[in-house]
Amino acid sequence: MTTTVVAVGAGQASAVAARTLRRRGFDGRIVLVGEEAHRPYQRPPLSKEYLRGGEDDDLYLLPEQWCAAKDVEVVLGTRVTRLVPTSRTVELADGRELTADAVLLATGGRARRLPGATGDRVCYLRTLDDAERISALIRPGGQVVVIGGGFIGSEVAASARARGADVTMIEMLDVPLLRVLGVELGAVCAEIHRRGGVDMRLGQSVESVTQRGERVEVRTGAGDVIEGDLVVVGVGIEPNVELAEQAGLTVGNGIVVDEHLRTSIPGIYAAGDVANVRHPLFGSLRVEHFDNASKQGAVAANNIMGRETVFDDPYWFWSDQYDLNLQYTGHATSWDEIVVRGSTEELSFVAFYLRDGIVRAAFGVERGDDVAIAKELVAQRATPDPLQLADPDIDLYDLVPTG
Amino acid sequence: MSTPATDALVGEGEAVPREASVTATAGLLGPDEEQWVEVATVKELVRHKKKYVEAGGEQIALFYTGEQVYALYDVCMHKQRSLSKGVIMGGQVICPGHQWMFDVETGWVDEEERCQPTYAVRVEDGAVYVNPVRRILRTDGD
Ligand SMILES: Cc1cc2nc3c(=O)[nH]c(=O)nc-3n(C[C@H](O)[C@H](O)[C@H](O)COP(=O)(O)OP(=O)(O)OC[C@H]3O[C@@H](n4cnc5c(N)ncnc54)[C@H](O)[C@@H]3O)c2cc1C
Ligand code: FES
Repeated sequence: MTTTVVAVGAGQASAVAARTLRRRGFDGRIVLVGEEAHRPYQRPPLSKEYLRGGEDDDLYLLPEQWCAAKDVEVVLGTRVTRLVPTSRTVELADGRELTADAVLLATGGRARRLPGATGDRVCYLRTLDDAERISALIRPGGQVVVIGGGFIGSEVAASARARGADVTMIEMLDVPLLRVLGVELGAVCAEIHRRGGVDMRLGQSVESVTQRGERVEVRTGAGDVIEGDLVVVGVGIEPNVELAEQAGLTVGNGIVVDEHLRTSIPGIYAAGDVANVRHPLFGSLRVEHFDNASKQGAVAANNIMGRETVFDDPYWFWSDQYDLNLQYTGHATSWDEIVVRGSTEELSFVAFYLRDGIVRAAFGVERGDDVAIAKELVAQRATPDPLQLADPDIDLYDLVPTG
Repeated sequence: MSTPATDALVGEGEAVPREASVTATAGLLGPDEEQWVEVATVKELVRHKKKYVEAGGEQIALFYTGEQVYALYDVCMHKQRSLSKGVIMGGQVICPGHQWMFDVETGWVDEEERCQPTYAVRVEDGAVYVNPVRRILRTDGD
């Protein structure tokens, strides 16, 4: 019998786990322990609405009234300092101890730091506090330097442009998102930024970042010197695995879990950005996206309650930049062919990544409808005729095997 | 999905069973007649599965699935994308914005436990009518 569930980290995965447990009728004790001082909130708006200077009504995940009504305890501003795996006891920074039948590790990740770059205008974006700091430094007519052309860097660039700042983006690779999208589609992302008015410095490494008073200077490997009011570094995250490591759980590119999100020690689960999951379609994979954290939070909750559930979602994520909606589903690190349906020039298309004829992934710009169907194609390992995939006169849905 | 098949109130205290939307006859229109606006033909919906229409100042997304016609408020409650630009699959409307999934009948989004407004629909002699008054059919989970 599971009577107490403790979730470490009060972010996306934990919030959904708590909600799922209660919806499924779990009537034991639920405690979420989070290091941040804020109530559980969503991160996606931080680089979008929030940086543009707006608010987001949907920012918070578990309203206080809900927690009170559903008897979910949320301990904020408190770090879990130790996990004793045999008894499933967690020790909190304030000295308290909690013993649970099931522990969910959903500690997420932290922004990877750029060595040698210091100063209060050298910013990273992971938390609400980070977003507030960055937002306060962006001003119309000001200069923002973005290091890294990934999703966070791209969204910061787009939001800073919307605020009327000049933006320079420095990306080490020849196109942004090269490893995820490949050269051709990465080039489309670079074009999106150029059309948005961003000064793109591609294929350039960063030699040094120096803050002088209220200015920051970035020197690139090619010898360019770029100045700004602030620098936002978006070069990926490091999963927060220390607690798991110290408890002796198997760790390797995140906390290693099976398809039920069980770690190497019974009663301890992991979900979200920190979890390296054995996925039936893609093998071992750690994913850093919102929908993944939500779905894994729900799957962990089910398994904690003894409802055996496999995490086999084909993955899906989005990014909103400028006025464009980008979406990606599946996972592909290599492919034989990319089939484009629609027009990359007009920024309305979906690109399918095929390997051995199987649709492994798809990337769409302003094509959420096609991506929804692509998700089915990926989940079913469909092998559609590439000519038909590209043909706008053929209903994509007709290419889903069990449509 | 497994939501009860009873429709919301059309007029004060007058509940119309969902089945009426396919089998409705002229006599059922009754006193609310002026509320029902003809917006499409069943034929075009069978062909395209969805259609964007406007009636009574409302932006409406029509969907056709399981031989029934449904109408949802077209403007997604999440970030205002157009539901009629989405897809309908397995009784769910999927928003093109961020893939929220709406029960086509009730507008309910299970993962968010929130409800998109819908409209009452009637079909008569191959014509589709909607009552352009937004209604919320579900307000809480389970
Ligand atoms: C700016 C930004 C924009 C994003 N935009 C998108 C987007 O558009 N689309 C998309 O799909 N994804 C997006 N993401 C990614 C998405 O937000 C994450 O994948 C998601 O938040 C992961 O949820 P999680 O629960 O695994 O971790 P988190 O939400 O990071 O939660 C983990 C929490 O655990 C806490 N914690 C860590 N260690 C401890 C400890 N020892 N004790 C107590 N607490 C601890 C942390 O402080 C943190 O609050 C974005 C992320 C960011 C930062
Ligand atoms: S706008 Fe509809 S899901 Fe976001």
